[in-house]
Amino acid sequence: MDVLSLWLSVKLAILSTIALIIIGAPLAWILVNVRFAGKSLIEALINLPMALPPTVLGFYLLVVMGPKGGIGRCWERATGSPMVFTFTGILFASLIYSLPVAMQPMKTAFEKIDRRLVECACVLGLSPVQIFFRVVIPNSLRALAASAVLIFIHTMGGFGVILMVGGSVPGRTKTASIAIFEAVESLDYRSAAMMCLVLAPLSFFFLMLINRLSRSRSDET
Amino acid sequence: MKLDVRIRKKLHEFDLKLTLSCRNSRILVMVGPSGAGKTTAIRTIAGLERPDEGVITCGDDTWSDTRKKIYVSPRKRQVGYVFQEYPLFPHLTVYGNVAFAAPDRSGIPQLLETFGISHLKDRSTSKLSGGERQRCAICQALARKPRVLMLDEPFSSLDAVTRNHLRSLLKSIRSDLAIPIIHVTHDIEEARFLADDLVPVVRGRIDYSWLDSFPCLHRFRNQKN
Repeated sequence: MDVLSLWLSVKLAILSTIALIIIGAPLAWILVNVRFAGKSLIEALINLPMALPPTVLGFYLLVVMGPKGGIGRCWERATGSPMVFTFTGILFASLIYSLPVAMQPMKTAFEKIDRRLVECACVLGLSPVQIFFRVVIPNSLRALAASAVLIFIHTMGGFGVILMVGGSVPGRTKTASIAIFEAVESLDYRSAAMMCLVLAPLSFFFLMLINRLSRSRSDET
Repeated sequence: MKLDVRIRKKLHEFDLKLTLSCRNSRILVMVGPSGAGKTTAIRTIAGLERPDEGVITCGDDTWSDTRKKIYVSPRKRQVGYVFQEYPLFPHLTVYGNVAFAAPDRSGIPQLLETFGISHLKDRSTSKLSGGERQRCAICQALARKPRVLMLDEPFSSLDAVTRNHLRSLLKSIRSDLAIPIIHVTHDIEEARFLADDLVPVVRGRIDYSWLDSFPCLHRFRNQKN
């Protein structure tokens, strides 16, 4: 069994989860509450990875993250190292790929927050940032937890996008899904089965957790 | 201190056009049928809605002046606002709610004592009765040390005993509070009991002739606020 690939997948999933909760929560709150020009366009762009085949998304990311692409060139100028075929590269790709998955439960939870609570906090003298941290977040913890679990599972299962952007560099970009694919390709069914045996119960456990969180949320409302 | 309001705001079916002023330690009751624009009026005073035209001043401060393009955000107006159905923060206890925006927590035990909820301070708000929630909401608004207190039909969903008790309590503490109080209601008996000044609002306008149908409010008929 390729333990290194398994660990890389877990590491990628944990970092993606943390980053997407930090980025996604304020973004979801803004999209739910603030009216501005181009909002539909931004929402469509955020959700695009869900509609695109992973290989197509991977191809576009490869282009923009490559040495001649906008993001890749800026990254290389700032850090001196390339973005594609690195762990940073697959982390960035994973953030883009999982952002719509992260946003959905958060947006649903934020839409359900009683507007009067926000107005009450506002009249009580809180700034929009304070309202977000002192009212919105404490009243959306279950949704944030559900979102975190979804991001984790989604990232653990990422394949097409990661393969396109990261290739298969052992210890750097070769995640568990890619390791399983390569094991099957080389007819090493035993290794593939062992890794599947680890991933399948893990996904099952997390799905159970999501169900539980969703049930408690509907009980609360 | 005195709160002066002169506002005009277009609503769906009519224009809200009000001029009123309220002084320290006095309860100004805005009374009228449902949908007359009373809630919109105090929401506008609190800054939650903007007037199309007009001036709102509190003491020497201008909170809103459409001509001079002045608009102070609700969080800076230092208003105590008790919402209809008094929403409380569900993730906090009674004490947590009251202390939520208090600049100084030293006065909170006394406040809880005055409103008879000090024994509930560690209780979750989901386990409170309507009357207890209402008291908590008023304490929350007062703990902020507001310059004006506004209450939007705060007693409408309470039983008669609790309602009478809280009305009396509010009336008895108005001198100690020493701030202007605006109380919105459609309950004639409540208006009669609480009002130092009365503003009848009908379809967005102040209409004293509306009081003709209510003999208990006749003493306010010739009052010009």
